[in-house]
Amino acid sequence: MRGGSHFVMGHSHSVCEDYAASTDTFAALSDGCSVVKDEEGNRIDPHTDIGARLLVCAAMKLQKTDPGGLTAKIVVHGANDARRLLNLPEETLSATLLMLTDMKGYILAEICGDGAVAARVAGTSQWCISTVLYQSRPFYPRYLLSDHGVGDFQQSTGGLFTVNTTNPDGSECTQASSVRQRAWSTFQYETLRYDLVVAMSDGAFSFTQDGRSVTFDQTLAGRLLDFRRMKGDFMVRHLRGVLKELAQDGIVSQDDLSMIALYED
Amino acid sequence: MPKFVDDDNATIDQHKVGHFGFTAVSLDDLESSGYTLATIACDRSGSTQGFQKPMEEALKASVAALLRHPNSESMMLRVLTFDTECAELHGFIPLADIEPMRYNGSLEPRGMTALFDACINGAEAASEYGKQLIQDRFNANGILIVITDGMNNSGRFFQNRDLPQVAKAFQDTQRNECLESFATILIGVNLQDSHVKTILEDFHRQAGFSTDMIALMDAQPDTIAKIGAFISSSVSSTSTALGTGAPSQSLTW
Repeated sequence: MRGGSHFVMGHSHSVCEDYAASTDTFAALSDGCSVVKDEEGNRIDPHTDIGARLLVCAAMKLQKTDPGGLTAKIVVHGANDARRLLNLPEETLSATLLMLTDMKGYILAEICGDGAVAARVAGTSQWCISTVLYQSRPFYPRYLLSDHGVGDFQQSTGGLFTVNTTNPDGSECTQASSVRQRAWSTFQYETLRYDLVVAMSDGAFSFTQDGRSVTFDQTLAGRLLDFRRMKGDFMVRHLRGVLKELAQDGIVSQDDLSMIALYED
Repeated sequence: MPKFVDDDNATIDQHKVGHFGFTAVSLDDLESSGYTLATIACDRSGSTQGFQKPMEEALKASVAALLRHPNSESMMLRVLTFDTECAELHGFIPLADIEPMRYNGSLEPRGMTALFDACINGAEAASEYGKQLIQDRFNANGILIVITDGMNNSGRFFQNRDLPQVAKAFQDTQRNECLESFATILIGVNLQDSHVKTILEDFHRQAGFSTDMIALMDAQPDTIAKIGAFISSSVSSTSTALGTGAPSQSLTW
């Protein structure tokens, strides 16, 4: 198994609020929220770029002590300890968390918030692609810090999200859900069937061309998932190269974009 | 030919492209996000008798110096020698896979001077391999350093009317889709004969080398040692520019 991760700042951003890291058996990314409001509804600057890093660093550390048993809830509590030490507001942790874990036989993908996960059928260029999209702002792991966090989120936003999946054979299915039922989504990909699993932040849904939004469809996903040489810093080469190629066609990511992957070679 | 790669896992591919072809480590074996492709083409015609050993030492010293550079993992080196013909001493391989001691005896003087062949060979190989690297989303830039003490009089491109072929090879390589940047440097050694110096200067201008010609009037060990230091500083500078899309800082002797 081989892991890779990389993150690139979006066209409309002045600070990159995505972060990603990986080992050969585990990878995590986090996407910090760009606009955060306090309880009175005023915009504040909570440094969610730091929050994203705290979440990923906590995941990387905790994964070593509890491989296979890591959840967004465990990670956010670890990140919260670090946040307290830094005396930062809780809103700092307003960031999504996506994780990939090698479970020896299958790869487990966990998405807390929004984003996409894709798995390639071994030996082919066919993908199973799932997107997690919220009707309103995404659910952040930090809502799991208190007993009433999930309920508060549901009350203020409706808490609804959909998981759209396009299967390798082209068939599609959509599943509507609520954070009350499940605060994070999990996907399992058997390594006998899938050789590459990739997760990406919602920057994948933020591409524009000539000022107009570019839909995250099979064409765009196909370009974003066009992996080539898979050794060493493959994700750095891939993400940088793909964004450059898209930019040559006038297609740019407005939001930060991060990608993580586990690859069975 | 000495074996330059000890790592049995590294695969060397043969590329039968251009006028001469070349070898290079397989793209499947590369791990860095990008590479500087450095080519040194070194004259070993009969007239280099007497300074071949200092030149071999300079080559070894430059590799040893580059290995200490922070970007050494992103550098690949290819060495050509030319006499009556141009030959590849080793193709593009990562610096860490080069054993500098194996340059011993590699520049034994013989024959005539296939200078144009060496330039075309160096440019074409960098162009083709660079194109493959960029196609597979590696960053890639290049530098070609040609070291000679004489004028072209041998090889496949042995006539003066072949000179535009050198210029074309350089221009083709400087196109964006081949490499981010490609620096070409001509070092003339032991240019005591003003006729040879004039002809080399004319060749330098017409071929379109990207930097001023370095004309060294002698081939004393100190002078040759300076070539080694210049090689390492030039390759280092090119490596520092990797990924920026810009050429390296202007290189001065």
